[in-house]
Amino acid sequence: MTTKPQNPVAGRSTTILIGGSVLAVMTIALAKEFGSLDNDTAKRAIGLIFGVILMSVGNILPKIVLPLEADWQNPTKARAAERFAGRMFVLAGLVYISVWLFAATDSRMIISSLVGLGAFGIVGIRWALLMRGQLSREGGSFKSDYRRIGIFCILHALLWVFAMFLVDSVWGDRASQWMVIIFVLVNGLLVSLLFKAPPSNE
Amino acid sequence: MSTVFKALSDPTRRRVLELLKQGPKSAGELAAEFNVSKPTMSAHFAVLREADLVTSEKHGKSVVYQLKVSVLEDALLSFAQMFGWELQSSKPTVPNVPAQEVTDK
Repeated sequence: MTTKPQNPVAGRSTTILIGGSVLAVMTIALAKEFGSLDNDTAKRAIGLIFGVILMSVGNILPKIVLPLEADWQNPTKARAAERFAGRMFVLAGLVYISVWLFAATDSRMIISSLVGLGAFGIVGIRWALLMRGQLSREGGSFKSDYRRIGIFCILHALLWVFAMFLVDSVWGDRASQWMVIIFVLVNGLLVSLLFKAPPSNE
Repeated sequence: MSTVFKALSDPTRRRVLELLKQGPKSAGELAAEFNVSKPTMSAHFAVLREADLVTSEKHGKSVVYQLKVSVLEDALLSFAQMFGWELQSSKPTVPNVPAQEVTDK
């Protein structure tokens, strides 16, 4: 069985997405700091960026296809789950952006966070149902794919962002600051686990 | 993006993508669904690969195809299916792809 490297376009898109988002958020933060943007506009712009990130990640998610030999036992189910996740994130991103554009100032943070968390919840449940009993790696030599790890880390960070926004709206700054600390720890653990060399079957 | 539009403008290629939604399939399995010659089918596969809508892997003597469409491309595919969209110049150019690619032994 032979495979060849795939998805250079998706890999490039992921890199551009991460770099562009970081640059955009930093620009907005600086503009707010120097008084070019008021607090409300800056918040709205950052909300829009998160919506665009969610849509972009959802869009390219089904495009990152692993070789068959690197997949789990049932590539058909895995592909279906990825396509569903992609559609759900794109849809959620659209709703998220609409909320930040059109919802009332005092409620948009809570509503948008619930939209984002709801999308993650639905995708998680659907994924669990589709992949039930199919998670065994027997019959395939699972290998780490850095594009997928990149996408997974972005999604993980987005999940925390939505949760932090919600906690900030309901319980205030202090609770969300604790969440930042927990996020840094969990993210460090996750990255170290994901980048651990995969077991070799050769 | 123009390669994607070109790929989606042909009903045979759209049908191939619909079949691949059911899961990875070999070139022979896909070719069996159509009443067209093997060189023509190979040319269709080449157009889909060029548009980055499918990936191919060689398993022994057969070539297995997998769907590789983004959500936007999937929406374009549904849109093209719905309205039966077809370009005049959508016929594949025959072929600079080996005909053995559609054999499945």
